[in-house]
Amino acid sequence: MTTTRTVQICALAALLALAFPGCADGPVPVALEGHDFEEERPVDVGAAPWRERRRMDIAQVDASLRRVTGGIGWDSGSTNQFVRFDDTLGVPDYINSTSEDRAVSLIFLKFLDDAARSVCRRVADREGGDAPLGTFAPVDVDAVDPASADVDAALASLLLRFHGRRVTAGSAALAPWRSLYTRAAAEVAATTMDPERPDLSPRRAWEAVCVALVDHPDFYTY
Amino acid sequence: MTDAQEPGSGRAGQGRRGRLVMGMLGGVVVTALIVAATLGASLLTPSRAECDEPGGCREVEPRLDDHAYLRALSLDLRGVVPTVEELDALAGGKAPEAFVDEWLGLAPGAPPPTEFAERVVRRHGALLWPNIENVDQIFHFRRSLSRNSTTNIWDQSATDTRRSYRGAGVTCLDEPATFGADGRPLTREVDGAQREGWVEVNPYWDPSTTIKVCAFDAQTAPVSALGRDCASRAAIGDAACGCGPDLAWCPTFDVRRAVLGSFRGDVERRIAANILEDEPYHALLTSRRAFVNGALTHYWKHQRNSFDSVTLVPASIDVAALSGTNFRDSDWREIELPAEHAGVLTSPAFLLRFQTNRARAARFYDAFLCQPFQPPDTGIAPDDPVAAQQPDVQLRPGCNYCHAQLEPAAAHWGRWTQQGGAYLDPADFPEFQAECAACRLDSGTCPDRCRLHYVTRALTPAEEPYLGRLRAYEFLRPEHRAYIEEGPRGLVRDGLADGRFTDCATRRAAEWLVGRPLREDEEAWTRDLALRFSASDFRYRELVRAIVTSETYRRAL
Repeated sequence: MTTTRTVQICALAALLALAFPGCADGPVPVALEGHDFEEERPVDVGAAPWRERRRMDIAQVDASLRRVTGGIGWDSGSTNQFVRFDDTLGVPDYINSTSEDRAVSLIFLKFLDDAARSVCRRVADREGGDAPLGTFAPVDVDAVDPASADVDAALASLLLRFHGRRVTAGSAALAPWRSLYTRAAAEVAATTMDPERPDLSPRRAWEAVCVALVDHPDFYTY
Repeated sequence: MTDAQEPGSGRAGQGRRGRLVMGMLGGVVVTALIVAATLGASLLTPSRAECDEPGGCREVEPRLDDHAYLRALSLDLRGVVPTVEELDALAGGKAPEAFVDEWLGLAPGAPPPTEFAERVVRRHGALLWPNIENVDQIFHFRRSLSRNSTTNIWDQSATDTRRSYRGAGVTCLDEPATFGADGRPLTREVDGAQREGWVEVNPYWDPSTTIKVCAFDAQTAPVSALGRDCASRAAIGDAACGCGPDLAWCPTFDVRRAVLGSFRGDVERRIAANILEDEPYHALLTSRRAFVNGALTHYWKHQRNSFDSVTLVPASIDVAALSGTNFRDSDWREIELPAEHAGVLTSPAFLLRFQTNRARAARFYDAFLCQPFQPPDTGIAPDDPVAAQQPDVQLRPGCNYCHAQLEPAAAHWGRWTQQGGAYLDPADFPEFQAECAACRLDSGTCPDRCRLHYVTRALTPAEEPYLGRLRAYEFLRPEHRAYIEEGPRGLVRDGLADGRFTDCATRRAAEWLVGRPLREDEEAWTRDLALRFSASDFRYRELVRAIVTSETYRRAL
């Protein structure tokens, strides 16, 4: 059953990548990972009434993205893409629909990822430009090999900003994020560094961390 | 995630917890793969999932820690995540409840809760459905101005209007117009049509620009030679009438959209004002407050009388008291409406969104009394042929299951026109008009006021007693007759008196904030909330505060 679930999740991810080929220039090679998730462990949550943990609505996603990025939203020119695609994203128009679809659907995840890629590229470029806001402080996003303590501090700051989650330096909670950054930085470092190609600069690793933070359920659910 | 949940037994909780964890883990995998695509490389080598690392997975505690709690509060009350500075203040010892009071404007010196008001407006969209952008029949289609993309000349492009001016469905000539001694445009015959030239006009929707308009369409006479009011629908087809000074009587596509959108804006501002002024919540449904901007002012002053199949005439506001003439004025001004108004329930957006009195009553019952009209689970038995002859749906088997209650409720809108939103003043529209009773028998044709608002046809003997009576009185029981003059305020009053309104407002707010339907075993909680809501004189902010500071809200699963 564990294997089945792993395959299902990987298939879901593969579908996501394959279903929207227009999002990238040509096919994107994706190495699927195998994961062994343990069986659900019964947890007694009691019978007391609760609030339903739920997905942000689109207005909340829009406003929150702008807040965590220091004002950068999913805009194309003067057009807010969340407004442009509001019908597709399940925002009610009160004529054909009267309540917002807040399901964490593939469509929602696809558009959220589009938004994350757009926003995080601009955040990383701003932080590597002339007027950084310190989103990734204390790290210089263009530093090739930042100190590990600085990386941890930056990741802890990002988790607080994006997820409202306060972790201490050295916390085990930083491990997956540190791993993600390290591997992304290594991949970037393996490519040819060209000063004329900012798309290949170390800041792309921080852009990847930013995208992952937005795509993570701890960002879009509450 | 928004589905209704079963009562939270431990077992059900286990399943929910498991699904959440799996969902989050799945999200991590998807995220990792998306990141790989972002980098355009086969970045990921086999590794372990987040929760394989001890401590790498966030503990999902049913009772949120302060940080997660503040995040939920901020999103629900302001629509955005908290700032880093706010999270730092929380870590420094500031209580989450202190943020609640600030964000709801309940703390001393707190700024007006504009962000919360915006969330309440958004929430009430799901109750009032205030979008009427498809109801452009309040404008007559023959009055619609459009621009020829080749010549850049504007005219009323409806074929019938062109024909009435020129004898054929063609526009004017692309040349300056000339005029006769009587001021009328001179024409010359081209391809069998009498065509005039154009004149230059500074249109009301943008006086800073000058546009070319066909001279017939740009005529400014207030009254035609036939004595017709050129600003009214009666003048449509009258060649001596045009669009008036600055084209004021004729809308464009953008004008129609601006006006209809502004009617929605009016409702949204009424909701926001109720919150910002900290008024009793029920005042939203009884208040005489409304808002107008430049587009609405222009509509009421110049375009309301040129309606098509949906009308706001007779106007339900004092048009003469409206100030300002600039269509583009985006400032909103508060106005006081006549006494017959009942808050958003008689707003143009509500009346045009729900164009029958039954639909209006049904929406009110569902949204504000939590009593949706729906058939029983067992279904409704089909009519037998005899029962189907019963014209009174309060009595007809099957129909009466809902309509015995719906018809009297709908009577509260009896003086508001259906297929429109006009108010029928008792002084001008008495309960009975002899001419409306007689016109069918006398001539076979009835004047508009009879045809539109009075019973002028009786298809069965049971309907004959109502000939000549205002439509709302048809089949109305004697004990319900007062509802017509009370208006929708009477419904609100009754709902408040028996507690249904209070209970429903509480339930709607609680379900909004806990994100699920309430359960039967939460009745004691909601009853306590309703009592506190009532004790606070129905302050919505206090109700929301009570909900979001409850243990129920803080336990998030």
